[in-house]
Amino acid sequence: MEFSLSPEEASFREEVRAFLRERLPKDIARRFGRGYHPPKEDLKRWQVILHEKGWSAPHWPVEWGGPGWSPTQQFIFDDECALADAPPPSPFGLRLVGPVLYTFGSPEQKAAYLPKILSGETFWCQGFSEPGSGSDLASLQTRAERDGDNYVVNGRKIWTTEAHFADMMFCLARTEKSERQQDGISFLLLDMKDPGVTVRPIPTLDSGHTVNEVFLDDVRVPVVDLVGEAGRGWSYAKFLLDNERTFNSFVHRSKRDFRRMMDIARDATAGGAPLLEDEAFRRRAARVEIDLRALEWAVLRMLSGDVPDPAAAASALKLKGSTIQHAILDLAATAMGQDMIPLYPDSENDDGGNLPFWTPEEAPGLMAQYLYRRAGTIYAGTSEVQRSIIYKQLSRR
Amino acid sequence: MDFRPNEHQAMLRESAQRFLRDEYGFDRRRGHLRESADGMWRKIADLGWTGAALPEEAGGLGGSAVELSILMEEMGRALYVGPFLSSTVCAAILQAVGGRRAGGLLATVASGERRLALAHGEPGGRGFLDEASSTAREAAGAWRITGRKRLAYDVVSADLLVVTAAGPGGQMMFLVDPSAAGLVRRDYRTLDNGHASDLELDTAEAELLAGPAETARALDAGLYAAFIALGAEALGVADAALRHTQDYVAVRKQFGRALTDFQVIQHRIADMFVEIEQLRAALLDALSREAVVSDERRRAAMALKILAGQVAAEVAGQGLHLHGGMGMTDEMPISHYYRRARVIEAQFGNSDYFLGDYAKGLR
Repeated sequence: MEFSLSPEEASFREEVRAFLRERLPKDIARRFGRGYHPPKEDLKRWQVILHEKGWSAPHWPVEWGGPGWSPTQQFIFDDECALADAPPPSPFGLRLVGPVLYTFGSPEQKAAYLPKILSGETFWCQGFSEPGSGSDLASLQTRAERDGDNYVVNGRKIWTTEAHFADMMFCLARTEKSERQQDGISFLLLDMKDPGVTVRPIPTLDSGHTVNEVFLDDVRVPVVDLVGEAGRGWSYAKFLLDNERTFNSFVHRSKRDFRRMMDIARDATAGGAPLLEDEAFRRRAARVEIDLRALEWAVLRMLSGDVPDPAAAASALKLKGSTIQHAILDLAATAMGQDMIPLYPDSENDDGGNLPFWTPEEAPGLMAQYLYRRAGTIYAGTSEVQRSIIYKQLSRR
Repeated sequence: MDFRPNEHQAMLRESAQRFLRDEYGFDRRRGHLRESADGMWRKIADLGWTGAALPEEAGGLGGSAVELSILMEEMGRALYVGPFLSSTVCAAILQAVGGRRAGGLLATVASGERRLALAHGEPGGRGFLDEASSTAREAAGAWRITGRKRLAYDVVSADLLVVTAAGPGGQMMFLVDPSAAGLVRRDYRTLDNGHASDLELDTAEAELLAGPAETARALDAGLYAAFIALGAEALGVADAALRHTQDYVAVRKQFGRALTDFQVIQHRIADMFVEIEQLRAALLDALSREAVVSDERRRAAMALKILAGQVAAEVAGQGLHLHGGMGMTDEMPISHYYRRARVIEAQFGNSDYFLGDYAKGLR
């Protein structure tokens, strides 16, 4: 076994750090560091900068514009980006549909879509969940009927993150009736500018606007924008969901959040001394740190490939990662004490009402993030779905 | 980074699994528990396990903490009871002390020829980081120790004891013959069928092993080895507890259905797996720091100890629960896994004790 970074990997970390110091715009880092969902302009500007450097798609094969990094290098890159408060690129193009397109897409689809994902020119959203189909995704009802060279799509999608600024949607729709509900689903790419697409914001508990409901009424999708074979969409969706096994551990973000929590505890006073010196608080924080450091090694282990049960291990990472994320933000809220109560509006976005007279440095954005991250145990397969996946894997061994 | 075992490590695991399955299956284990540890010990020494984690110049086979963790994980799975852990901790101590006397002893420990046991804890103490308050005095060229030692593991099968005591310059380390005049001991069994002893020393003759600075270094090395070992053992215990539980709920029927048909049971099993994955990762974290003696190494080892104790006790406890009434019986392996897991959590100091120290170093 070899546990240390190679000299090349260690110098790579330095290179990434230097790049971030020079090129990550301060205002973008400041906004993201506060915990509000990054605005499109920030995501776009940052993606363009990364693209210039050739670093916009760390996990893509070189053939399609990836930098050819090892899994460890990708880990280091994500780690440094999180510590520097660089907003992670919108995942829908880069992490989700991109790999589906370069694996199953037609040459035309690859040529039309991949370069614009890399450059940040096109933003994507994911049309999977429906009002009646959450954990049981395969029960989805959206239909796509063939009409000449087009599919005509009708249905409703929900929880569609970033649909309000996405240019394209990859979407699952039923093209055939079938015995098994997983069969007969197709994977389509649709243009959000089509007149049949209506996006309705869903205000969420964090007072932000991130997710939407999307109504699809006679949306016309050219047949050339069907990915792979008709009726096989479920297998592409599964590929997409399995593709990023470590992506949902939230480990880099959680490491950053832990530092922020410690800063809050250092600034807060309890009984005349910094809260961080309070033994009960320190013990709580220490226990969470122990889980967090184990999570990091669990991710590294997954990347190193020495995992007998990758599907179960990936679900374990998501379960544990989301729980740890909640635990860290709970500590941060505890450290904030009663100062967590006010609704601190985003000061760079002047529609949120008054800031209180007294606003602790780290307060704005903290609770928005805290509340939004409750979704961690819900999306990308709820904790219960993950447990069922794990059990299914274990029952085979 | 590459966490795959090398060829030698893979072979070591395989041979350990085979040996323990043949010699130490659950039924044969009952017999071993009643007998002295000597027979098993000779076989273990012949297999080279006593020197597997030691460098060649120390008389070992050139392995590292990784080899130790492989052996301990398999021993945990097999619920091995015996002086291996004590011998390992003393070897790490001798290695850190260095010099001719310690080096000579280390070679005999590495070969399995001699067994050493550590007597460090004292009555009223809470764990490994406590300083000894037994006293050591030198008179006419001979050292003598007076004091009490608590929960010294495997003294019953040891040829020589490593004893800590407060000397003139601070905490020091000595070698004491278990049959030395002035040493009275009481041997007893532990919850998990292990062997421990309490010692009363009244000006018992002792040989100086290490002064205060070397003692601090040696205890740090001992702590690291002990926690790698316990962490890996806990992993074996927890993983085996999960597998036994899975097997049990697959055949047990209630309400006309196998217990595995109930989602609540499936999800409990899944949660056990999730915790074990965390423990496996914490072991990698601690293993990765072997080479550099540092505060970070000690913290990683403590993190492992804390997680190991909690995960093993939680997983084996869930397993016991899922066995229903049968889990309460001595007949079922799960009750033994639970007892061992519960002792691991408390051994050398419990999770609370080490969390306190770990928390002090939080930055």
